[in-house]
Amino acid sequence: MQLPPFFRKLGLTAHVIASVGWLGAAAAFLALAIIGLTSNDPQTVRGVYLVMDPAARYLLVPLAFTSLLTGIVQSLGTTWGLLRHYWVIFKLIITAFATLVLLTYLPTLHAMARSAADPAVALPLVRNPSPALHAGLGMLALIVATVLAIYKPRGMTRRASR
Amino acid sequence: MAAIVTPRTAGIDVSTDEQQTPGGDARNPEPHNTPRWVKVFGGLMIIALLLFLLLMLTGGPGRHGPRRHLGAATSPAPHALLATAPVWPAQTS
Repeated sequence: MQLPPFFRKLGLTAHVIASVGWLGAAAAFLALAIIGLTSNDPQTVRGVYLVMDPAARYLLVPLAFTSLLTGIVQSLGTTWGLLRHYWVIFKLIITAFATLVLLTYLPTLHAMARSAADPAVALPLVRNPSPALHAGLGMLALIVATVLAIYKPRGMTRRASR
Repeated sequence: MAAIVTPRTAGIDVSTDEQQTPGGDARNPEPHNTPRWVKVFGGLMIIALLLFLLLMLTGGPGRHGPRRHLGAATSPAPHALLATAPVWPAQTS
């Protein structure tokens, strides 16, 4: 099913905003994670881990789902198709996998925030390299997806050539 | 005489996403052949997924793998997750 040009452009705009916004939010998240690991100020360290939980819940997750859904709509509503081109399939897998990892990581972020809020927990236990690792790998995956979307390397699936 | 430089003569791709259509594959004389980049990329993705599954099943080094996060979903004890986490060698307050 082909979307009319107006809706195609609208969908593409929404998809680019959500996807690039997600990448930017992941970069900000990585910056926060590095501050949490390196800052000398205990309040800053605890503040960083406190803010990561709502930031992931109310920013990263909505952006991830918007990117995934607009991407699916965009591929189904244009001649690219969802399973016709390899680059579209890879992009779908990367986005879906990154969203899944993000969702499974939310309880850990919540636990870190609760520890950061508890003055009885020592600062070395509040610090954790895990958010930096996840944000870094997430950024890498999203950069690869962005590169695929821009270069659109050739290659059609057998399903498409039937 | 100065040459006129346009984006096209400068080698800059001026096509927009709207202009980039699946028609680009019409240049491919053998559409049934899987391109090399797909094989390489697919192989890397399979390795990454297998690594993730391995960490998921084994719990990862120091029981710090992805399975830890799933456990947290069912028992959200605040410090239980951090008990096995490595202490970052940073300054104490």
